Amino acid sequence: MIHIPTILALLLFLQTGATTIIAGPGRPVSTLRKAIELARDNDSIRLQAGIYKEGSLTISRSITLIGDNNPVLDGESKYEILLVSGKNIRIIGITFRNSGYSAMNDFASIKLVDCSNIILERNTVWHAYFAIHVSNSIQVTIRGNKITGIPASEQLTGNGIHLWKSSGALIEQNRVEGHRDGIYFEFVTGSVIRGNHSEKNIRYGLHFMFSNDDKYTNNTFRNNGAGVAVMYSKKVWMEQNRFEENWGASAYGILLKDITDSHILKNSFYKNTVGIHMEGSSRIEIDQNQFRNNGWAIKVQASCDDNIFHHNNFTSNSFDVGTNGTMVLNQFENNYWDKYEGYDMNKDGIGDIPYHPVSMYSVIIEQNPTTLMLFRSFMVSLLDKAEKAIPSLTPENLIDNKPMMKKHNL
Amino acid sequence: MKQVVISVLGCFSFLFISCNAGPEPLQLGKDNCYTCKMTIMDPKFGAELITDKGKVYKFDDVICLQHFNKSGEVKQDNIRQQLVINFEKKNDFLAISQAVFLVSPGIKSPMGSQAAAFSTREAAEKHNSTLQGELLSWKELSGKLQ
Repeated sequence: MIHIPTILALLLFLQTGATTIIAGPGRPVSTLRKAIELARDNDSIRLQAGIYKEGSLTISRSITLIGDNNPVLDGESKYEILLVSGKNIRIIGITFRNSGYSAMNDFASIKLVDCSNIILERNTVWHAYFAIHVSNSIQVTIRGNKITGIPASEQLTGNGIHLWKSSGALIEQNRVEGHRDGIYFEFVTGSVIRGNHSEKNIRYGLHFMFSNDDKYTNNTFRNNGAGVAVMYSKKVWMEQNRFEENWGASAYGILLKDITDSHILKNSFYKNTVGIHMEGSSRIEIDQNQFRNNGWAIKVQASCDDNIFHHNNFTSNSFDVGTNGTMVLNQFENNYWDKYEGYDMNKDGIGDIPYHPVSMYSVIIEQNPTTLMLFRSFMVSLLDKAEKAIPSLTPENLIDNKPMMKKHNL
Repeated sequence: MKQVVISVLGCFSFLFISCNAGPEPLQLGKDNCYTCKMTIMDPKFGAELITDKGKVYKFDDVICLQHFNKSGEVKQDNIRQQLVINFEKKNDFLAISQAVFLVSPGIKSPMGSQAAAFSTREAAEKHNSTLQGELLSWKELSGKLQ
């Protein structure tokens, strides 16, 4: 039972090369499956408005799939909706909802495997296990998509945008919420993440594992279960991001674990339990950041060395710097600390006596967390004052020798 | 008099309940891996180490347990128990020495050990039908994990 118009359509595009197939309810090509079968390289499919329940679809030819008036592909909570494997493929303006879950495989609404030069733009993914899952691919652009996971704090949720063993990816202007990790990178190199908004994800807003030479700029990470984690990576550039409202016993603005040769600049850390937590990290330059209203602005574990913190603003943080050892192999310089009580006799804008950003109480808490109960008590402020006069417990070399008298204009 | 005895017993009852040396269930989304600091999220993977004093260390992947063992933070003599999560059942702990590990690149564990633990060889083999992985004991696996 093949419709005559279908055959005509088929003949037509065989003759003319690149054609546009219009698919939709009531059209000669009524299903997307049929349209994908008919399409040849360089063709376009314009999918009309409607709800399509077609199970799992696969695209492997170089086509452009465009949704007109927001068509919906429904996975009926059973299927992986779209598998893409090929080159020069674009998917624009389509809503994917209710893709399936599998315990063994990472089911995704859109899965890219062994791809190159792919663009996913202005799509909406709603209630997926993994939303967009990319593996073994190069030059993938994911732009302007809106991804909303299953809202309950279920463990059965995967990552929003998940990349594995890929390079040259551009992740731009997406909005991700309600997933395990908003954006996840594992073995991804030479990629850029910019202008995204990642919020209310169960674990991390952004998660880097073993991913070198990447850059993330101008993103907002807000109210994620544990903030952002950048782990086991080299040469990561982090600029002008906002890390906000990551509260919890183990929530961090950024968790840096085994990171080297990286640069963190012009970011804003606001209302996090810990702004930056560093472990096993070296040769990181941290400058021109703003730390406001955090529990701890920075926690530097003794396993870190050769890091330099300069020209940052520290304001209204309960603790400026916390550390767990007495060895200090990191440098602090030219920062503004609102707790600094020194003076500037020669009026060069730099305080004449050094600032000790580690208070005695923060050393005590590091060793015995329950003493936090005594925070802001008279005894504690007395001890802190005494320690300032005669340092005994705090690492005496952890000092800012050139504390600024005025806030940096950032 | 009876009331007094009961209330006195009541006061001291915490003495009897406070020491529980068994494994603690992993609270997904709340507990952190002691080694890699990641929030534990995947119910199929995880491990615990319990010291002879009853302190519990939690891990999201056996590779993190292995790193912890190598770090020497707890001496081998002071370890009472090492446990691993059954791949097939949430918060079901297996003694690590008795578990059967299936290792295959097809197994995406949180920290890249690529190892899943099963209670029996049959269960592991059933999962292995599509994966072509190898079955190992903890002794064999821990020797391989870097």
